[in-house]
Amino acid sequence: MNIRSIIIDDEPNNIENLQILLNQYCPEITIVATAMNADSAIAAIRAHQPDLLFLDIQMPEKSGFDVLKAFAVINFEIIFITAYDQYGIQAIKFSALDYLLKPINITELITAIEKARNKILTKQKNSSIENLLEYIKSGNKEIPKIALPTLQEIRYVRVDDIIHCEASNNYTLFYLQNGEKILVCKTLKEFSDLLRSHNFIRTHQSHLVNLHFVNSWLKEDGGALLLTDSTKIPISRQNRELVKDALNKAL
Amino acid sequence: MKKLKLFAICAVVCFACTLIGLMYFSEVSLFAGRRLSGDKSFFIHYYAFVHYFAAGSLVFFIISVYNVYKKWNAKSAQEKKEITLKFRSNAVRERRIILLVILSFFLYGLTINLALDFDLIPKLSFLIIAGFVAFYVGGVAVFFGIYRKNSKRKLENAIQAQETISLKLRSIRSQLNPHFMFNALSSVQRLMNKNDIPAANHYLSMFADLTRKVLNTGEQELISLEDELKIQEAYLQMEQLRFGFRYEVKVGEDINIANTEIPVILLQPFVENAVKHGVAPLQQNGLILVQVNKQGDNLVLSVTDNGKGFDRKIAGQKDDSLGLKLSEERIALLNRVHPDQPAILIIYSKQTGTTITIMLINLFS
Repeated sequence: MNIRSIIIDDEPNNIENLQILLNQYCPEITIVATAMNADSAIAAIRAHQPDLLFLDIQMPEKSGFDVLKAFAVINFEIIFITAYDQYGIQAIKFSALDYLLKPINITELITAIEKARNKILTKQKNSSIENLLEYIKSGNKEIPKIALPTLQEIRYVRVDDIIHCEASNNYTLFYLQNGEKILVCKTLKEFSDLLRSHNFIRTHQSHLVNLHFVNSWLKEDGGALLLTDSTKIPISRQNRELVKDALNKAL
Repeated sequence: MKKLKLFAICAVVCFACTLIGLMYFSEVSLFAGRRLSGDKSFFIHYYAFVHYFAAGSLVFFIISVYNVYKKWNAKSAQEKKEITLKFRSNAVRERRIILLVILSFFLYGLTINLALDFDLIPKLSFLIIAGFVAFYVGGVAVFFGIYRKNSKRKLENAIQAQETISLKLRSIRSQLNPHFMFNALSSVQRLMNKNDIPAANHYLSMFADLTRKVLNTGEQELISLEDELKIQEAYLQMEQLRFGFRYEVKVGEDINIANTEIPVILLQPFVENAVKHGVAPLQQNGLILVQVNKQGDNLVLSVTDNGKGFDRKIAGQKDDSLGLKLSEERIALLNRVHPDQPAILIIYSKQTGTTITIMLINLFS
């Protein structure tokens, strides 16, 4: 399969570096165009209708996200590339999209392309991008939706609809406000990092709780949290102080 | 100067109060000895003692209220921070004051009751009471004035030390800016992938060298001009690899760079700005000139780029103008610590380029 791609980066060196790596390790990628700023990127995408974009987030004047905002419908896959951008990465992770960090790790590059190829083959609708753009537009003011990849689909769930999450091996079980449960194929650790800034706390190795739904602190067997849906969540000893602090702060 | 004047007035008033108080004190003792016998004279002293507490507490109380008022009225965030810090260091004392106020009001009530029981009030003239109050207020005010001035100086030193450290840390962090670091490593990766092994080696060790030098500057206040220029040159070379601009470092021949010491991380933010906002978009056409010259007793450092310039008002609103703000704060701080060797920052920007000049006055004197 031939994947027609465009590389967008403000530094020619990075374009050259990525081209060399792609030539060497991903022969199915064909670079149809490169662009060094957002405007020429938009023009190139319109002209070439690529399958895949390698998109640098940080560029002077307009960012990589601005490139995407120019399109009403996004019918190409995207692999984001950045040197360091905590906010951008948070946004990308929230939408379960793929990104690479500079300097580029070859194994990660190959995996990302493999995933992108599967998506291109099955022609999945790219609603994760819409979620991403919404996240960026709201600029931390509104309650964002988080992408939860399940075996069948990717669900987009409002963060404040999640009551708590439970780890089961490499999967995570989400308990929603409407009583629904979603099994997601990612570890609890990943969500714990993502949701920390949205008032979630890890009470236990295998439990992550939305502090909004805490009803009371039970003193039985060394402490547990009673949630509004009357589930009991254990608190591990080493997390006890942390949970206490978080609850006090949330008051 | 204004503070000193205020303090002098305060001291004079206190002294006068004490004098008047002493005069009255002697009269009271005489008076008490003459008119009152035994246990009753004890109550006069007791009564006065309570006044001392009440008056002293009132002074403390007014000061703490004044502190709160000042904080509430403070204009800048910096001012607010200073007052908060001051306030915090006084927290213990303020708790003591509150206790004192409560205690003295209690004692005051008790004394009045006792005095009434013994029919003492009419016998104490107003002047005697006023004398006691004046004496003790005066004493307390003098003591408090000294204490306050002392603690204020300590506090100022502490604030300054804290600012120095935090500014330096922030500057170091900006120097080991993650954007710069990862992009630099990315440049080295490209050299590797291009099979340009000698260049990859050269830039990788330069990167290591730069990182090491910057980490080491964390402990020192001053750096020799020689080392500072080496750091800047290494930084410029790494960035040159990314953007392809040209640069030149010119040092006046009459300067001994090994023996001239300047404050650390003074030049860095401006060189970084020249790269990031000046020449980066120009790629190969970019040009940066770093100049070091001696003018009389002054050392003049300047960074010039041929970028498109910037408007201070617009740039000031962006987050990435942090470097400039940090530098201004730092220079202001240095000037406070070393008023005899001030630094002056001059920014000149137009559409065809920007020149930033730092003058270190009297550096060679």
